Amino acid sequence: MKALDRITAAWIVTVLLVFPIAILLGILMRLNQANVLELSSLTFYSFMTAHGLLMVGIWFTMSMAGVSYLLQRYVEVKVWPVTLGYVLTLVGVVLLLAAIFLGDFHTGWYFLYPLPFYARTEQWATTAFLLSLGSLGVGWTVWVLGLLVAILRKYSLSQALAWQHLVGKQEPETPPFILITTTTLLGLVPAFIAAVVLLVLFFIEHLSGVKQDALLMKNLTFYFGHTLVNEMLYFGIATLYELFPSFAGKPPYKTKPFVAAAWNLVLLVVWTAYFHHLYMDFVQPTVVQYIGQLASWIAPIPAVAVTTFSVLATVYRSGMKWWLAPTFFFTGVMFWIIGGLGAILDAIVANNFVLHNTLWVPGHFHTYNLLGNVLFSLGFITWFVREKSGDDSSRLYRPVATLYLLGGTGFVLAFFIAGSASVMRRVDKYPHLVSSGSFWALIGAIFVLFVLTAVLFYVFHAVRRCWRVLVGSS
Amino acid sequence: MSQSTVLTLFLLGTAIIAIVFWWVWRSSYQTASQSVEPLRRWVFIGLLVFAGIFTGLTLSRMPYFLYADEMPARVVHVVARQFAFAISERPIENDADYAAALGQTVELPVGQVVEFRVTSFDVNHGFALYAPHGRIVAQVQAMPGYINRLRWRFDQPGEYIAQCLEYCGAAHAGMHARFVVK
Amino acid sequence: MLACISGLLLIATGILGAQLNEGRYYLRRLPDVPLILTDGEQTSLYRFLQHQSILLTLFSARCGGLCSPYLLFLKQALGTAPEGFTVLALSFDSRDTRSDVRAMAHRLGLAEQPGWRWGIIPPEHIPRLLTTLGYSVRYDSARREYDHSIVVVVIDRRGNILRRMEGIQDASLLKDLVREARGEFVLSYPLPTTEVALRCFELDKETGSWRLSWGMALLLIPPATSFVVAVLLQLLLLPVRRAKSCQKGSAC
Repeated sequence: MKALDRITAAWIVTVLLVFPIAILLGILMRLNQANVLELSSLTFYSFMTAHGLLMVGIWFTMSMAGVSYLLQRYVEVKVWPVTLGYVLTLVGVVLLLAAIFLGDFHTGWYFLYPLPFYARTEQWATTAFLLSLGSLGVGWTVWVLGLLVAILRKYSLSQALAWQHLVGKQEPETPPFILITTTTLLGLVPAFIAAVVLLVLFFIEHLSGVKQDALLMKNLTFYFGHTLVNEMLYFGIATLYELFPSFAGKPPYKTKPFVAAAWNLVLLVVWTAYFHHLYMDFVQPTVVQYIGQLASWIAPIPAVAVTTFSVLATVYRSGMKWWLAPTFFFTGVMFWIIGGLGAILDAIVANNFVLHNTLWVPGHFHTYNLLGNVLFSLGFITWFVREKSGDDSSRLYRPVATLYLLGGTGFVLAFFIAGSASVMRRVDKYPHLVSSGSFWALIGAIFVLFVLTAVLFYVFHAVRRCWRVLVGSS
Repeated sequence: MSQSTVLTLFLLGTAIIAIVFWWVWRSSYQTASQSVEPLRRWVFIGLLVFAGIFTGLTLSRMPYFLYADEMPARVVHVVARQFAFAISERPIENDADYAAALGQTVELPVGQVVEFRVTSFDVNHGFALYAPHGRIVAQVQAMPGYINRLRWRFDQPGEYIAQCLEYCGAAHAGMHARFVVK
Repeated sequence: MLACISGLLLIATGILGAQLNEGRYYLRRLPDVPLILTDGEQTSLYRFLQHQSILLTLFSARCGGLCSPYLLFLKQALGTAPEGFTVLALSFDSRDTRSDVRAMAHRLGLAEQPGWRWGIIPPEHIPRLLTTLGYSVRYDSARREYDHSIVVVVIDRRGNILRRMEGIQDASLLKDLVREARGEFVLSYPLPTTEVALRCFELDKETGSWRLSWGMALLLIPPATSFVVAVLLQLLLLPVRRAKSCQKGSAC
């Protein structure tokens, strides 16, 4: 599958080149909060909007690209949906950057209704922003459907969801990779449709001036936004299930009944998790808030008891050889559940009452993105580089792993500590009220410089090798 | 739970997770293979019991019905709008009321239940109450088209700050108001 | 009749925007006025409130305009035996006697209903009550007719105003009031606005509980569509899967 190699390499090169730029935007924001820099408010919030959207965009697409590549082990994968996804993503990102940097679009990734209509933004920039999301949405939906079709051409829906394993049958066998990928793809479809509904309502108001219900719009925003980020992590887990046992020299994981049960449960409850974004909206019916807390607490149990336990059991006394790829996956799982711990503590409504929209929130999601999902994708990339070039990145192993993990830990801890001191998120300068925020911003910025250094080394190494795959010279 | 309790629990949990991972990683340098599969059931049951107890205990502490059975001693109307709060004991119904209430400093009684009726005239805002010790004690969102009622009893006198906690535009960071509890 | 309905509509639309006014009356304490109920009981407002929270409304037995239709609207919306509170209908007209009011209650089919109590107030006490309630009455001598507010007010057992609804509003708002009259703390409520296209939740007219509205139906589009997509793909690709398993040589 030469073409699939190429498009995967193209994704890797693109993602890895954007990654340091997006990190840099984050560092500039932290330095501004630390009073080391003086950015205008508009610049700060433009950076914030770009940072959030770029990070989610690149790592969502990278995890999709990894899954698309590995999927060919089981089914025939058509290249055109991946390529279309790539082209429309590029179009979307160009429109997005134009809206943000030329048109001062600065409403945050979530453009919470009705802020775009009240912000000091050029009129065309709002249109460009909505069109950009439309382009990303179409590209990603086609890609997701393309993968679903590829799977369902071989497995029936019930087989892909491993229902035969649920009742204890062995045949036909559904690999965990197929099961997790299918549940994730199926979970993404409604998220994209929610985005379509949201965009249509936005356009209606944009063109006709008819107002929307702020509660409905907020529900739609997080239905789509939260679910997308949540499912992105599951793509990472699918990659892990596929690659990790081989790193330890063990046979591939099998879909046991509890694995099938866990992922089917995830498919059922994943869409309720977004409720915790609306805990402080007292107008949301209280029963929904109860469901939100219960679902947020029940959903991670299978993740810990199934995935984490399996990874630990695989490593335990395995005599395995550690190199960059398994290290990324192993530490990724660790930080994934640490971030999850931060998340479920905040998902208790009584705690959210004092933690909502403080730095605790970026604390937990940076833990399972920067130190979780990104590591899963980097693990895949490292493995891909070895497959294609034979280079196992051994020269990078110690410096990159150490700098990245150490820097990342300090960086997220600064968020957690400041969050518990009631320092708020999404502000360009800390008011006098929470002046300790500036100190923790500086600490965070210093630590994330370590991460940036590690990333630059890694990017230089991996991009050169993937570039050769892309231009077909290897 | 107070913020520091949450942080302590988090750091404690993180330490336990890190120790388990470190220990397993150390063990990987040995090769005497040993199945740990029977443990899985106990991990699952343990987590289920823990999560059940913990979430059960905290569900009863939902902030939605705080002081629902008591009659508030004072009712305060709050309207958020880019980028200031109007806080007044008189209803704020229109632009003129809003303008009149701006800059007023409301005085609230200590030790008695106060009801805030919070809404927004433009975008979504947050309404977080920072106590004199600098921590958030309570918050609610201000959503256009809806009035949210937040009841709270201030046990500590002093100057409180209401700070916007939902990003609402370029001057969001400076959106706050002051009131006095005595 | 037609004039009456159009009058109602006129007032209702005129007042819709003024609902925020409610806040002005919240927790105002009503004066302890003497009451003479149609069944002959002589009591006072506070004594009456000792046993029940009330939904208070005012009328005149001589009113040829809004009073009867409005009371019928309340009868329809609240029922004849509402649970958890009592409807107290008092005359604001100093000329009304106990028998006038009783006759009116009979006319409306609400005379001997357990949840409805009717009464008059000694004339000298009426102005005090009306002022506290923010109730305006003007006698139009040309038409020989009152020009007056239409209001329902939720009063707690200590005589405090909890909620006040002026004019004929969306039925969901009235049910909101009913919940409050029953002693529930209503955490949040929508402000009346005619501009919003679709709402997520509305209060159910019958049960007083939240029900899904068309806005919420929009939230159901994504999972429903996804389900349809999944089933369609499953069916459309059935021949492909069959062909594949044939190639492998298993039974077709």
